[in-house]
Formats: sequence, C-alpha cells, structure tokens
Amino acid sequence: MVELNANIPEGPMAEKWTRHKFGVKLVNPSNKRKYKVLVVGTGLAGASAAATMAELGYQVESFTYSDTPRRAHSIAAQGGINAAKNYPNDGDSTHRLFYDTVKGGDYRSREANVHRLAEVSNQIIDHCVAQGIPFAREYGGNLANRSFGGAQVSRTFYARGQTGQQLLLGAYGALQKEISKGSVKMHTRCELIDVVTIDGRARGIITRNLVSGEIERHVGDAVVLATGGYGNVFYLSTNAMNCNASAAWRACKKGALFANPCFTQIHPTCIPVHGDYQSKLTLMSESLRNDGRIWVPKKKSDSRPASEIPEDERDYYLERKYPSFGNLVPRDLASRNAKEICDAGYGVGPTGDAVYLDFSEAIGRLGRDAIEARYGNLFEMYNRITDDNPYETPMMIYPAVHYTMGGLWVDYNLMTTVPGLYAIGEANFSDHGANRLGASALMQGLADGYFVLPNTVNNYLADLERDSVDVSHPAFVKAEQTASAKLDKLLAIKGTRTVDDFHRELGLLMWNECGMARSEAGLKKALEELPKLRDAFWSDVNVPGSGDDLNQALEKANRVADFLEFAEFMLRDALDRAESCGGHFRLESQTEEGEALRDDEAFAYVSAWEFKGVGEEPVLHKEPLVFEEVPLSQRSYK
Amino acid sequence: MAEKKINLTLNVWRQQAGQEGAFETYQAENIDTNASFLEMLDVVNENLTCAGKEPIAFEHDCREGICGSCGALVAGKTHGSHDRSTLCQLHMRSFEDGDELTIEPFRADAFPVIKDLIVDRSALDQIVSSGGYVSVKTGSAPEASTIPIEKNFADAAMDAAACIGCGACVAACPNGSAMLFTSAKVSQFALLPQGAPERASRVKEMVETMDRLGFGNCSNEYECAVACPKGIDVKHIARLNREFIASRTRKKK
Amino acid sequence: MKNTRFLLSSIGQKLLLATSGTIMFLLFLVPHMGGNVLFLFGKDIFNSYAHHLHKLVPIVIGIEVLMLVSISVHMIMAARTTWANRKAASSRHSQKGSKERSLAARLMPWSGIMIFAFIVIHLANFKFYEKSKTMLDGHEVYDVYGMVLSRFQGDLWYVGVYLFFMVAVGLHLSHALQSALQTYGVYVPRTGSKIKAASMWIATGMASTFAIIPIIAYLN
Repeated sequence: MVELNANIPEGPMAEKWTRHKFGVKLVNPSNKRKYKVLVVGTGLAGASAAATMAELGYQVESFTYSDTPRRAHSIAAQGGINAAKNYPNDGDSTHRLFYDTVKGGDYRSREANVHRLAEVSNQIIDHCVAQGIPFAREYGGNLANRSFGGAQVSRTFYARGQTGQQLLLGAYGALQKEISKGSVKMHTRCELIDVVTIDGRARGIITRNLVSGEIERHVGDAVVLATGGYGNVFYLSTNAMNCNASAAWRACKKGALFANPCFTQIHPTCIPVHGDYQSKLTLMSESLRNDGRIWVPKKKSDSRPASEIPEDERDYYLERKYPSFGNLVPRDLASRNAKEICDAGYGVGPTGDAVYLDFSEAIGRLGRDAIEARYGNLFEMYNRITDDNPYETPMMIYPAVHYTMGGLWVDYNLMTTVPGLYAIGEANFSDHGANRLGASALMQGLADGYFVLPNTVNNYLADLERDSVDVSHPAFVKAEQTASAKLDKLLAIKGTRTVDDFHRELGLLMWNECGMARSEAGLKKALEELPKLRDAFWSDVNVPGSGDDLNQALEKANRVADFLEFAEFMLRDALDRAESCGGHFRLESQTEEGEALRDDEAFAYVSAWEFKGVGEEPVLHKEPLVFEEVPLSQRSYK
Repeated sequence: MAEKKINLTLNVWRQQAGQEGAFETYQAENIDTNASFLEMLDVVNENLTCAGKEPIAFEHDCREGICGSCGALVAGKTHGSHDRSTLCQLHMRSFEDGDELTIEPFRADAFPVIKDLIVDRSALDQIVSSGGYVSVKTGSAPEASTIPIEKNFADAAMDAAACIGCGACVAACPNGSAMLFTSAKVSQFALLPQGAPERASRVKEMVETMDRLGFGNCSNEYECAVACPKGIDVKHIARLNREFIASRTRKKK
Repeated sequence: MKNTRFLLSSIGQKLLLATSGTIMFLLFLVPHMGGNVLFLFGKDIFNSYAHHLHKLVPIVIGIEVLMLVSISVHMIMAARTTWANRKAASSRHSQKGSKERSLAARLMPWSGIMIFAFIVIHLANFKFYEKSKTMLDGHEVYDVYGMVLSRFQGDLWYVGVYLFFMVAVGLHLSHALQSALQTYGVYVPRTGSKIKAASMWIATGMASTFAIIPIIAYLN
C-alpha cells in the first residue's frame, strides 16, 4: 500500500525551509564521494543538480539523449525568470511571490513547496549573475526587471528574449567544469529506457546508447529524473521534438505515483497550425497582447481578408467580455475564449482555427517605429514563419500546449514514492498547481537543481546502508531483458503505418478531448478510443531499420508507445477532477457566465495515480491540500 | 500565407557509421511552401518508411532556432541560407518548383559523421569544458546587485553569448576552425567582471583544447560570420586574439 | 617551454606569421619601394642611392639577416598553418555557396610560394649579378641603373614574368595587411571596413609601383 507523506516540516511557513535544512541528516564531506547519484536529463534542473552535487563531492553520472547537455529544451524559454528581489521597489517580497504563485496556480499547489521556491528565488539570481550570465541591465549598470502576467510587480529578470538559453548555458558551463574535473561522468546520446528498483529502492537505470544501440546498465545510490514534461502527448506543442514522458512513465510503472497529469498549460499566442505536415508549434511572446487587439469577424466563416472587414463588423470578443482586463486576461482565459469562438465558426485563416491579433490601432496611436522597437524581433519571427507582414495585416494566432504542471508526485524533499528516486523541474508536480505563471518555470527548475535537491538528497543517502549491489544483480538483468524485448517487438511488427502517423492520431484525440475544454462524455469516449489506438500501434506500426545503430524511428516509437499508455492517466485524472481549475476546464463546472468554477470542497487535493498495469484502471491516492497562508478565493477578471 | 506546392529533387548524403558514404537522389513531391525545411524532410522520410527504406537521419529538436541541434549544408550553404536562421527556420518558399538541392552534413575533421546528416560535435563541449565558464560554487555568490555592469558591456556580452553551438562556423570555415565559437565564449566572459579572475587561464586552455582537437586555424576570411545563424561577429575573434596575447604579457603575481 | 607552447599554438603561429610578415613589409618592402621610385628620377640619382646604400653595409647586413630569419619563420609558420588547415578540412563539402572568401585569401599559400620563387630569381638577377661600373660625381660606382635597364630592355618575356610576380605580391599583401591586424586583435569588420579598403589600396599601390620599373625600363 502506497502511503503519501509529503514530509512537510513543522513550524511557521517562512521558517519551514530553514528548519528543514537544519533538521535533515548530513553526509560527511569525505563520505560523499562514496555515493553515486544518477541524474537523467540536462535541462535547467538536471544540469544544475548534477553540477551542484558534484561540487559537494558526490559521484555524479549525467545522462542526456541529446548530443550535448546544452540542447535541452529549457533553452527555448524566452521571457525570463522571476525572483523576489524587489529592485524596482514596487512592493515585492518573498511572501508576495509565494502568494502570487499559489493564487496563479489556482490553489492546487503545495504551499510549503511554493514558499521555499520563493525563498530561494533570490539566491538563483545571485548565482546566475556570478556565473556571468548577461542579464539585461539599466543604464546605471543595475539589473533590469520587467513585468509578466499574473503579477502586479516587476520581478522578472531577463536576457533579451533568450533567458532560458542563457540560464541553461550557465548550468551547462558548471556541468562541463565538473566533467573536466572528472567529478561528473557524462553520457550523451543516451536515453533512459527503464528504472531499476531493488528492495523497493531506486538503484539504477537502464539506458540505450542512441548511436550504437547498446543497452547499458548503470547502478547508483539515488536516481534523479529531470526529464521535463509530457506536452508532446498532444503531438503538436511548443515542446522540442524529442521531449517525451518515457522516463517519468517508466518510473511510474516501477512504483512512483504520477500527480495531477491533467494539468497542462495552453499558451494563447502561438502561430496556428497551417498544414498536416506540421511538426511543431511556435510560441509568440505573451507580451504581444499588451498592444495587440484580438478579434474575429462578426459573421461566421467570413472569408474576406482582414483589411476588407470594416470596423463595425469585427468582434473584439475579449474586450467585450472582460471590459476591465480586455486583451490582458490570464493565459487560460485567453486560450479558452479563442477556442470557443473558433469552435462556434468565427475563426479565421485557412483552417478556421485562428483569431486575429491586430496592431493597426497601436501603430496608428504610437507609430510604426515604437511598435518595431517593442516587438520588432517577434514580428520578424512571425514573418519568417508565415510570410505575412504583421505591420500591414493582423497576425493570426491560436493557443498551443506548452507546459505541463503535472508530473511525478514528490514530497518536500523532492523524492517520489520510490525511495531514492527523485524528480525535479518540470518532471515533478509540486509548485505550479493547476496553472503556471510566466517566468516561473526557469525559477523552479533552477531552485530544485541548485538549491533544493542538493540539500535534501543527503537526508536519504545518510541513512543508506552500504551494500555490494552491482549491475549483475538480477533486477538489472531482468530490467534490461524487458526493455530490449520491447525494442525487439517494436522492430518486428513491420506494419503499414509510421510512428508519426500514430502519434498524430493520439495527439488529435488528446487535443480534442483533453485539451482546452474537457467533458465527461468526451473523456469517456477518449478512454474507449485510446486502447484501440494502442492496439493498432502494437500491431501495425512500421519501425524501419535495426536496433543496433542510430535509429531515430525506433527512438520515436519507444516514446510514442509510452505516450499511448500514459495518456490514459491524463484522461482518468481529467475525468476524476470534475471541477475547473487553472488549465483544467471541465465544461460541467462553469459559472453562469461561462467562467471556470473551482470546487474546493471536493477537489482541494493532489491526485496521485498508481500504475496497476497497462489497460488496468490506476488507483487514485489523494494528498489533501491545506491553505494556511493564502486564503482560497475565486479568480475574477471581469 | 499563400498556398503553393512544389516538387524538388534532393541529393542527400547517406552514410552508415564506419562506412563510406555517398549521395542518393530522392524526389520531394507536393511540398507545401509554408512547410519548414525539416518538415519537408519529414515528408520525404514518411515516404521512405512506407516504401520500406530507412529514413534519412538528421538531428533536430526545438525547431525554433535556439537549441542548435539542426544543421546541414544545403546547396552549399550552412543551414540552407545565409540569412541568420537555422535550418529549422528555413521555409520551403525560399525554393522554386523543380529545384535540385544537394544536402550534406557539416563536414570538418573535428566533426566525424555519425550517420547520414548527423555529425559528432562533442569537440565543442570539450572546448567549453576547458574553461568556458566562471568557476563559482553554488551558494557562494554575492548579492547580485553588488557589481553594477555598464549596459554596453552587458549588451556586448549578450551578443557573444547568443551562440547556439550549432557548428555552422566550423563547417563554413575553409580551415574547419572553431575560432568563432571559442571567441564567443571567451568574449562573453572577457566583457564581464565575473570573468576576470580566470581570464588568462580561460583563453589559454580553450585555445589549447581547440588546437588539440583538430580544428584548423583562422585565416581571417570570415566565412564563419556569414554562416552564423545568430550573427556572431568576427570582432569576437579579434578580442580572442587580444585576450590570448594578453594572457602571456599580463604580469604574473 | 611556456613560450614555445604559446608560440606554437594556433594563434601563436599566426602571431609569428603576422610579425615576420610585418617586419619584411616595413623593413624591406617599403624601403625597397622607396628606392625603386628613385629609378624614375634618372640614372644619377638612382646610382647615388645604390652607392649610399652600399656604404651602410653593417645596417644592410643586419637587415639582411633579419630578413633571412623572418622569411624562414614566415615560411615555416605558413607551412604549419596551411598543413593543419588542410588536415582540419580534409573532407570537403561538394558545394560551397558563399563568396565571402576573397581570391587573395584563397591564393595566400600560392602567392606566398610565388613570392619566394621571385625573391630567389630577383636576387640572382640583381643582387648577385655582375655589375659594370660607371662614374658619378668623379667617383667610380656600380651602374645599378644600367643593369636594371639592360635586364628589361628588349626582353618582353622577362618583363611579363616580372609583372606576373607583382600581381602575386599585390594579392598577397591585400589579404596579409588586414589579416595581420585582425590577428593582433585589431577588429577588422566583415563589411564596410576602412582597414580592408586601405590594405587593398596599399597592396595595389605598392604592386603597381614595383611594376612601373620594368615597364619604364622596357620602354626606355
């Protein structure tokens, strides 16, 4: 029987982390080198954790499927990173950052974790500046801040539109330093295909060398998964092509619980889908909504070009419905409204799944130069992709999946329900609740990796009894056999449909039934469709090539096979949570005006799902959420 | 976004690990001009798979021009254009119906071919390993606002730091040199006070590693800067040279 | 040891290349061109210049030794660099789509070899060539002027070869001058660079000046 114990320290909220750091067991400096930690993933969380634990003296092995740690998708984050520095003197504080994050998460996150996140946020900025990250500066030489959605203070630090890149390169530099010192052993082009547990503890991983196809066993005293989110279950998302849920899913199959899988974030301003060949969606910064006005024609299926639609035949629906916030409503509202209006037949563009984001009024008011200064690079990016000129014709945008708040369930120490198995960054569930605020993903990844995990992993390792387990242990042999049998099976099917073909179908199913709006009927229908699709995959997929060299189709097939299983958790979770909160909108749970309606009485808990077998119904465990500091309230943006 | 379909002939480099490679010709038919270059390759690969052939291996990940994974020489140009964009940002509307394109991997001695269009660029990581960072232990940093940095310097450091490590500079260089890559990192830290304590050792070690790994020399021909998708300027190479000279002349304490 | 490592690194080699080149440019090529210009002012002035130059034997020998060292260093470093570069880019792309690389840059090793060949021929023809004597201000001096005239007069083929070599000098210099500055860490921008333009003009000017002598001599 799995028992959920969040291990939240006693004491007042603001002292929990300090007390906890004092309370945890420590590992003597000279003993640290006796422990080996395997870190999977080299994004912000993974790279920073590996580097920091190596600095502390642990033996660290780091794994990435990319050719180099620097490719991880953290690199694509544009906007910035939050911290409670209060340099602009606008009333920010640790408590306010904590408060905003809990509220922004629509009261579905764990207060103690969020408070710790806000506490270490300032240290992250200190550390990153010391690493030589070229943050934007004022003319006086001080660090610049900008404002971001969901907050009324300016607390976002940024490096042009490439903050994620710069922070990742900082962590990557730290990792490369440890690699050169020999304290981190790096495995590139190496993908996790199973987690090995012995006596209920995580003791290692099985990997596939993506160049030689070799299956390798790695033993360690603790395993850290920093393997990102599962947004690619939707096929089309703003995630990188190789992002996948496999590591988390394989861990789940080995006993780790998966928390809140239905919490996915849909970003409102992305470039719409424009063809069935499309592989990926591109996000346009949220800042565009500061000056752009969103509208659709008042007439259904109006095929006239935007310029020929007179002013009084345009419906500025956000301004109409939310007069006080207008185009600046939070992400989830903006996304949902775009979907509703397109579903009702008012959408524009070749597919009808797009709305206009119009700058003509702003250009008229401020002049083209001012708009160019603010958004020049974004307009250029848009032009490059669509060949349209946003200075002359309105942009077309549509929401797209871009972050997943759900993830492996972890306690306050970031340990999953499998002792010795940790999950950090987007791979865990803890800090963002049902909706993540802009510029908080980078903060959380680095908080976990630089400051939290290195101070909690010792609590587990200190008690660990030394044993002589090595890779010849039967558990490793069995895990390797299972994993490679699965690969052989995939290669042997030689069916008629490509992996992408199945992935696309899965994505469409998930997008339609578990995307921006979910209903009981739709979810139930999807739960019926999914096993059929899974069976079709396992009988008709065509994976060319062999398993003993570089085979991208095989890699993909292995990941899609996991998505096909994992998707069921999302659907079940969405079905169970018969309330609307944050990114999760259940059609059955809305106010008379059509706004999301939370049900705190029934659903103020974390859903943690236990795997019971493919196609078997998973078991739901509930971690009740208690709000001591931030009073529960319904959001309103009218 | 005008809809248009084009047909292309592709001469693609195919190579298995440890074997000789050769060009093979494929037809890319009915390609939407709004598709990206990599999406065009996806279509070709789907067709190859359905025809029972092995798809073309090419590296890619973010498909929005920041991860640095993708890259191939298309019609003689790294990333297919010299328009400050990566291969994933190149769209098919840049090509005409009936075009014949040669697609080959980034070639350099320091970048051995792994398969088809995929090369091993780990040498670039080794250059970074030998000094492309500021040695600061987590937790030991002073308050971030302690050292103000002149905006010009912060901006210039950011210009250098924009490198995505794609290796186009090495591929474009007639000498297979990694000077632009190395100089970008050296430059970033030379411009910031945080980089000062390790300034001399950083440039020495990084240049030494670069030499050891079989990259060529810079002959100041600037092909790298034309190829760079992020517009990294050759002024960083000049700064690298200055830093290198200074590392020798600076007084030892 | 440390110095050797520094100088034999990729950048160190190029610094040696640039420095030896600069020495030859400033201490040999520029004065040589200055002397040649005097040829245009007639027999007496040119012979007087040659005569005075001969009186400065210790300095001339010093410079000659320096030149010998410089050219050796220049050639060794150029060979090492070129060799390493060829090796680093031994697998060539089948197409190359940029016009950034100038002809001069592409031909550097070849123009360099040609210049070396030319120096050998030139020394054989003029420095170690038996010269007749003539009278100047009542002194007997070598008739260098006459020797130059006689070398070129009536020998169109020889003039042609000489001019061909001057093209090599011009090409070599046009890339070398700006390249040396960039190697020393002076930023030479890719486009619109005054330094690039200046090195082009200086190279063209010097090569033309050197080329004038055989033409004048031939026409004389």
